[in-house]
Amino acid sequence: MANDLNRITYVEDEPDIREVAQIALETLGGFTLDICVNGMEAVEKAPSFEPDLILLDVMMPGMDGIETFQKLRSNPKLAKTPIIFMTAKAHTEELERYSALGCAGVISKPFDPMTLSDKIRGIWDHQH
Amino acid sequence: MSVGQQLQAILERHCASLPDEITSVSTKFAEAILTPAHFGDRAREVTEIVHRINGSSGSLGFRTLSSAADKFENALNDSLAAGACPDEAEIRRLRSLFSEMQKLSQQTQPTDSHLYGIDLSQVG
Repeated sequence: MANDLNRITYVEDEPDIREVAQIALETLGGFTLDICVNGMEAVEKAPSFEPDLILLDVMMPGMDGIETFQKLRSNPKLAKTPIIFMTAKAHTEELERYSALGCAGVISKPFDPMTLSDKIRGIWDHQH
Repeated sequence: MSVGQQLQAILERHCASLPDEITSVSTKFAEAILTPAHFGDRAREVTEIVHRINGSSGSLGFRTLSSAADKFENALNDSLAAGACPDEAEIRRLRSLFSEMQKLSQQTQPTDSHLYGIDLSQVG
């Protein structure tokens, strides 16, 4: 079905967080992941992976999550792909900024690996 | 290696990495408060490391350490936002928050995480 959530591009620079999220999303969530260690890699790989959704860390060295979001969005293949930000800065001001950019949702960091997949599905379901 | 064992290995590796992270924070924090002219640059470096400890510790289930790192990170950000080297009272507060984070990092064990030993085959 077109509205199934299966393929996720996950962008995170911190190895420990990346690994625990990978376990959570693949094992608990049953998602197929394409993992990117920075924004540049996501911009390069996501168009060919064709994810149903992109999970994007905001605070990354080099190209941060906001710039990565904008570059992903500028690719016609990804122009409508829902993007969820993951951030420790989930205060009102930042949330308004992310919302204005057009993200599908925001997940606060630190996150609980046991509930991460459910949160993503909740945002996905809200979108569809 | 089972998923549970993979998770356990991540937790153990994270705890093993903490002493080096804390040493790095300690060194840069000392430089920040001892050289007021460079406070901003050094404090930003400290904040980046503390932010990393906060995020990774929290997501790996070390909530007490993450909470202490979060308080220290917020205080550092407040000082940076003020735009000048902090006064003595503020430095005392920063030192105290760092000491608390340092103490907790030394006490943190893999078994402290709620993810340690979890049987993922029984979840979901």
